Amino acid sequence: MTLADAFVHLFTLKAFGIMVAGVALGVSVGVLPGITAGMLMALTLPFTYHMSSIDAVSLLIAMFVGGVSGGLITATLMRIPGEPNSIMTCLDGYQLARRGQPGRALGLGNCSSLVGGTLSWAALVLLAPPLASLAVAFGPFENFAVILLALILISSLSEGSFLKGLSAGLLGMLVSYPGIDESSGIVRLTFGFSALEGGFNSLPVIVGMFAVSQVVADALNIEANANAIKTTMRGMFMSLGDYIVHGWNMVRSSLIGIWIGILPGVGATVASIVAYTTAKNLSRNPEAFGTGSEEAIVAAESANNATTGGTLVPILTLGISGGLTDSILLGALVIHNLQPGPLLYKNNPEIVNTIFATHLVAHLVMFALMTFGIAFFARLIAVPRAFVLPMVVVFSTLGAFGLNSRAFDIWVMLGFGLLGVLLEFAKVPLAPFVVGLVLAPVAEAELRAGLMASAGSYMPLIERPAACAMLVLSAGLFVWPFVRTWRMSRADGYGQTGPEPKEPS
Amino acid sequence: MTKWIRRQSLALAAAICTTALGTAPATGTTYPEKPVRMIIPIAAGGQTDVVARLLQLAIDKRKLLPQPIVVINNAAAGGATGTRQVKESEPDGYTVGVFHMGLLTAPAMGVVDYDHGAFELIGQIGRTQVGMGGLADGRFKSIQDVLTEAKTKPDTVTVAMNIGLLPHFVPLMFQEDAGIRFRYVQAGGGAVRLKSILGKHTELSLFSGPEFLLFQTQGIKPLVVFSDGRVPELPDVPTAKEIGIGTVFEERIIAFAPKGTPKDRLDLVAAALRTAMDDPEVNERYKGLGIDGVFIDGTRLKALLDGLKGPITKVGDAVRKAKTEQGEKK
Amino acid sequence: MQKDGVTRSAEIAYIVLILAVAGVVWREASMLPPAPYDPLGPKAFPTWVSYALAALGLAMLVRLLVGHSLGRAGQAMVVGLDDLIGEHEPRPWVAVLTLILAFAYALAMSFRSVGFLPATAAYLFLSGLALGPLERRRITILGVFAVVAAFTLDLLFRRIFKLDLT
Repeated sequence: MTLADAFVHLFTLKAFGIMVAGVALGVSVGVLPGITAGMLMALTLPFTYHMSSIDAVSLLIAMFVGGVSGGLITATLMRIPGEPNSIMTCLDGYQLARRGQPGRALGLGNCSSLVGGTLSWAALVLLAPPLASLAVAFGPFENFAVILLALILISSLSEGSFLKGLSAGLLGMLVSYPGIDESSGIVRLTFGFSALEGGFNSLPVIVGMFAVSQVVADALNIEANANAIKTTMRGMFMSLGDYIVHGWNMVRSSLIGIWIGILPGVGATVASIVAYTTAKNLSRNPEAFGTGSEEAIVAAESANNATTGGTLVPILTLGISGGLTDSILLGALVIHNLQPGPLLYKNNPEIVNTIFATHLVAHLVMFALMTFGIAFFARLIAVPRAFVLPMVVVFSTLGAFGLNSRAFDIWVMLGFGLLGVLLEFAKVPLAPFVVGLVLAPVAEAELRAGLMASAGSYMPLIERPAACAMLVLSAGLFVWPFVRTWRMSRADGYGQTGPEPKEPS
Repeated sequence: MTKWIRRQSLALAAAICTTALGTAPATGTTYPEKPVRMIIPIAAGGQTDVVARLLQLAIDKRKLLPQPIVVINNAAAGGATGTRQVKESEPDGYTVGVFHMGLLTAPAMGVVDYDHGAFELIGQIGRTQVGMGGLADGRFKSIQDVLTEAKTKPDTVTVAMNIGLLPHFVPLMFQEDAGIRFRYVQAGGGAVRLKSILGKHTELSLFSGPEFLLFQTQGIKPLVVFSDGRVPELPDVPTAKEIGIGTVFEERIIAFAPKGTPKDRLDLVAAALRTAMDDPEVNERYKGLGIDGVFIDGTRLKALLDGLKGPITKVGDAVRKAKTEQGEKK
Repeated sequence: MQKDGVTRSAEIAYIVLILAVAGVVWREASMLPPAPYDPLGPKAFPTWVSYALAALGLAMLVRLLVGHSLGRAGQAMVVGLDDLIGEHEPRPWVAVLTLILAFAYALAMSFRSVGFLPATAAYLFLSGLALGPLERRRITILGVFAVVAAFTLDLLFRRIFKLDLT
């Protein structure tokens, strides 16, 4: 079955129905905080065994695509990330919506998601083998250097108070350490609690810090006018002019998303943060970031959808999973007697082409569904918060518990909710915490694996060109925000804490 | 006053009775009366998970048990949390676990303080052969090349492994038996180790028989297998026994239950698993996965695993020795 | 606008927290054995990060004592905590009650003997009550909503998807 055939098949009634159902479910789950697309896919996996392999794969990919995109709705309208990857959209999407332009915010996010997904589709279909070769050539030292680069972005997220931002990043790193040390098999930092042997799973931590703390904030503001966001949908579609203005941002952020998708162990959350900070660093008005900057929304949403294509590259070419969703896709393939890897292209081209076709069409369906669904979702704002907020907690609890069926994860969620509240009161930024939390274990594992191979020598970091280049870039990027703030404060004569950030209107 | 006390006592008595009834193991002869939990200490989609779900589906489809089986994944801590969850569950036959030889290697690594002896073993539900290999156009053309190099230059031949699991332990056993020293590099699961070798970041790794067949087209060549006799699908690959190094080890998928589960319930589950494995459709799937559908009952399995404890502990000691040496290097 | 005093207290609490965490992690990490194959071992990263974190904590403390402000990095991600939306009375007790109920819900979920359905229905109802005025009509609607929602979720996640909830 060629790619063209796969597309045609997708438009038969049953196949199309399955795909639309998948996207719809994915988007719904993406909207709901706490419950992720990964969880939905894990729960649906048993049902897919009875389906044909083509249908099963199509359904799962559709859910995957829908899930990645759906988070933007709750992020924009309620400041609660539906998925961890929409954390950055919470920032600017909501502010833009508050300023009377919810339609524009959602529209920007939606269109950027489509562009990101389409670009990553092109990369997947046209460049999967060379991209895979590049990924294979990247050894532990290169991977470490790339992740270090992303970690350094913490400094960009800390402008205004480097002490606070950096400390948040380091705190996030410490939270990631308890559990089994991946490089040595030694259990560490459990303080005697057997529950900590599994460590703090990042999902309940992130859901707690953002969703639970937002619920608390909303409870605090329960008297506020619930219709703070007018449900006008004007400006939902990006004009040609918009595409021209944001075009380069979209492409750049998509490239970031594609590459981070290919990297092992890192996902859409990091991609959106990296794209956001890159856009901020390269922007002409970085102060606008965080107050409703359109560039911010475009960057974050293009990147996180672009990871969908990127993450499929190692799955299809090497059979490597980069996370939970990947494992589920692999499991679905395996149970249908399909072996992921280069043989898949040869023995089961229909599966590969189905994946390609579904990936693209699912993005288009997602775009359509979100466009029409936005009017429906916007009405959710009108639902009294007494109903919505407790449901957010229930869904977050289900999501935390559903992971590994441990009550411990629920406590983690609530505990980090409290931490989130404290950090917000102390005006400590949360984004660096997430960066540290998610990236620290990968960085450590890669460096130590590299040292195992080099018998303890750090020289490969300098000898290997890609690694060396990225280290230099990291150093530059670390220093850049300091330099910029210093230059701005010199120009404006402000004190050492830097210029005052704009108050949200 | 007395009326109040009486009411409180009645309430207390009622509460005690309800709790007692709620937590008492089902004593009827109609086991199972409610769904059976199957805890899999592996992320959804992993090979052991796939096999377990395969059997679960077959059992449910053909109603080999009167109640459905509910699969629960708990991959935290490399499976330690999941196995601990099974260990601490009520031994009423409503909790079973499915895992692989990690059950024996984890205690040797010190990750947990219990091994297969802490459970009732229901049986083995699958098995694969394993071997070591590397790039076909790499510098090792045969296992003899590897042995020569590793003997003259200890700690230089790099082996991609997954610490605590078979890809770590079996090369260690081979190393101990052959009197050589490899250099171990943490990588991860089969595909990640493949990537490491393809990218020339490491030279050798342990793979299962089916993995070797798959990776052949990418240029991976098996150099030795650790089975009793030659693997039929890899007829040109010598066994370790043949070349004089007696390392024999296989990856096994094991079903188990909390200690104290009544034998009749264990037997019922074992029978269901066994019948499911005989199903021709299931056989097809096993073949597709490259897993031997060999069922070994609990008693025989326990004897087998007990026998393997010795070599595994020896290897665990070798790891400890390497730790101390690493500490002294500092 | 939030009073500076609240920020200051929160900052101090934060500094205390990170110093405590850094200290505790450093202590626990120092007892870790070396790894068998790599020179860093499991203790290297946690140790260095806790050093750095402690240093930052002390730096912040010193800055506060000397009288400088610590600045504010970026924008709030959780809007509404320290910059209230619009003009209205903040309701701290409602927020606290929301948290307490959430913890009670978590407690109920961790005891397998308490069913998912009753726990969720109770939580939805009580939380909804806390988040608004106590009027009879509202209470009835809340009650119905709580039961229906809990029932639907139970059906979906426990029966259909077979999540291990009890």
